[in-house]
Amino acid sequence: MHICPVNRDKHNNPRYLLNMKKITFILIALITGTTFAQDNASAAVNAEIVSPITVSTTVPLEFGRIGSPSSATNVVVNTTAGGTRPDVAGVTLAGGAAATAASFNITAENTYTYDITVAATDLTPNTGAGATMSLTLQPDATSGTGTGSAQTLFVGGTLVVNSGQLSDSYTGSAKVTVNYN
Amino acid sequence: MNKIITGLFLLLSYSGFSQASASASFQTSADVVDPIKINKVADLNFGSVIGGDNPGNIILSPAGTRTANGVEISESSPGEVNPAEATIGHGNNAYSITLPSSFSLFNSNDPSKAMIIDQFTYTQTSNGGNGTDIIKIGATLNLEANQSPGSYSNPSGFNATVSYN
Repeated sequence: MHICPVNRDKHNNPRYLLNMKKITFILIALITGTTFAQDNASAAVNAEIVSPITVSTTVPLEFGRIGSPSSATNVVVNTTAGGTRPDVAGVTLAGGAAATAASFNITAENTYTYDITVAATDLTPNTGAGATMSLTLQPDATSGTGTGSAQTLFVGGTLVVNSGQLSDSYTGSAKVTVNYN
Repeated sequence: MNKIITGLFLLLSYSGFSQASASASFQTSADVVDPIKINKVADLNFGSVIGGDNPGNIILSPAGTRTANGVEISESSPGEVNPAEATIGHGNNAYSITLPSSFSLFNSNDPSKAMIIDQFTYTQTSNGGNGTDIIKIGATLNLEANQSPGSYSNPSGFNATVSYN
């Protein structure tokens, strides 16, 4: 019986080297496999923030000094710059505080449209017992398109002065609301 | 037991006959599947939002509808609004989707001004049963009080990652 000599140095053993190659190959395959088990994609994100719409009063609505009429009479302040006050039959439109239409600055984002609404309270006497006078407002626009800069809104109105209205200073409040639509 | 006996025998053989090696065979198996893939179709666009005096947020659903909380949106000028969209090739294997927890957008005129988006949500729908799905991704855009107007974006994009389970 012939016994083959055994090569004890495994690094020179061809079979050992062959096994090493197999192991290396398997490890590479596993690592490669891992990369294919996952994928990702990215998406950009965009948003635009629009300035809030603003409105501020630059000139209050002023009806001026009015002589008390013998019958209920409408006094109008025109809805224009400065707001002229046409003469009204039966009423003395005296001097004193000049009548003017109210003026507002509206600032809205360029190209954005908005609505305008107005609301008023009746005018009440500051000191005496005079009757309240009803007020209706007439804005020169009920909608608009922003420019990014201030835009002017004029608001005139119609005041109903009662027959024999007691002399006094009368005040009320009016509100302009603007909304993007 | 048989295996153990065999093993012992081989060991004995090794020493007895001074063999240089021993071998045993065993079965291996592997299922090879197509790699999973995801491809972006659309970016995430929140559209135009009107800032306010108070903080708020806009929730954009995966279906593309916006809900405003504490801030306002213009019905007539919504801007470009759409959820992010991607296709996933999964070869009818189960997979999972990972989205970031938050992501930042920066003002195009002043990058020091930022907004955070978070609470990503998504819906998956089968794209005809051919081993691909369509996912749509929405998120929540958070506005600070008096958020500076302008365009906010992040072109580097957020990552949606898909992995086989």
